[in-house]
Amino acid sequence: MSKKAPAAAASLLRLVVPAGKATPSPPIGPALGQRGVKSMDFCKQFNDRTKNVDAGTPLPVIITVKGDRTFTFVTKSPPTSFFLKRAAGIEKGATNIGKDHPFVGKVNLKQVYEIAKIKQADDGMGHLSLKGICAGVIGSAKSMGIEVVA
Amino acid sequence: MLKSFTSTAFSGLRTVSQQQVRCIQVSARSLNVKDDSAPKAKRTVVSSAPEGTVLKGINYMKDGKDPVALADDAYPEWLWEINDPAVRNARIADPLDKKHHKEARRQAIKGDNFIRDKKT
Repeated sequence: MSKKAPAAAASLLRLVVPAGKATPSPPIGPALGQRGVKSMDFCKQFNDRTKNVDAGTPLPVIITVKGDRTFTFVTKSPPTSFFLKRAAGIEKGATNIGKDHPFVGKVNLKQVYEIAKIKQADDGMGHLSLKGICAGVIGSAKSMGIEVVA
Repeated sequence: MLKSFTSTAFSGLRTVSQQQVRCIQVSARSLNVKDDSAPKAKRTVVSSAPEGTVLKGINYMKDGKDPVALADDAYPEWLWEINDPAVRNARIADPLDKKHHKEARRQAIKGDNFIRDKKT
């Protein structure tokens, strides 16, 4: 959602889209339409690119819309919370967390390691060590009320 | 042009053989001066997912499968320490560690904020 410098006037758009399913008016339609992009075009390309992914997996996507209304997009790995909920076998994260509230799920360090390995492949993680990413995943787990055990 | 490192508490401008030289304080830890003389304790943590367990929920590709857990030794050493509060507390207690100073600073800020809020 930021504007680039004068000439191209490109704008960035950050969305989370379920893999293989797109176009619904609420999330994507208006957001793209405002920038003059035909949502059908995006949806076709997106669904095509994500055809190897389990249907419905939420995928963050960053769409760059150039001044002449052409667009490119980059797909990233699913959100960490998505992985953690699946690994812990729960539908939703905790409503409340802290010492007075019980955990709602449990993951072990090996699962954390595997999640971190997937996240490491993302562009934005290039400067982080795998250990750092693991620590981040553990932090996410704690804030969702998921206990991390050995 | 940095002519010398010094681990004493002096930081600033120094004259060394008639040349002005900027010295910075460097802690032993940041110079990676590791004290490995003490024998490393054998890892006591045992994973709840022994080798061969299927790690569910990780795979999200159609043609992929959930990864299988390897033996505990196949994972890097740091993995068993990052969730260990004892390791973290040891770092906070060690005055040469950055974590010690970060935590001290954090507590000082909390104290200041508390006092400031009390006044109003």
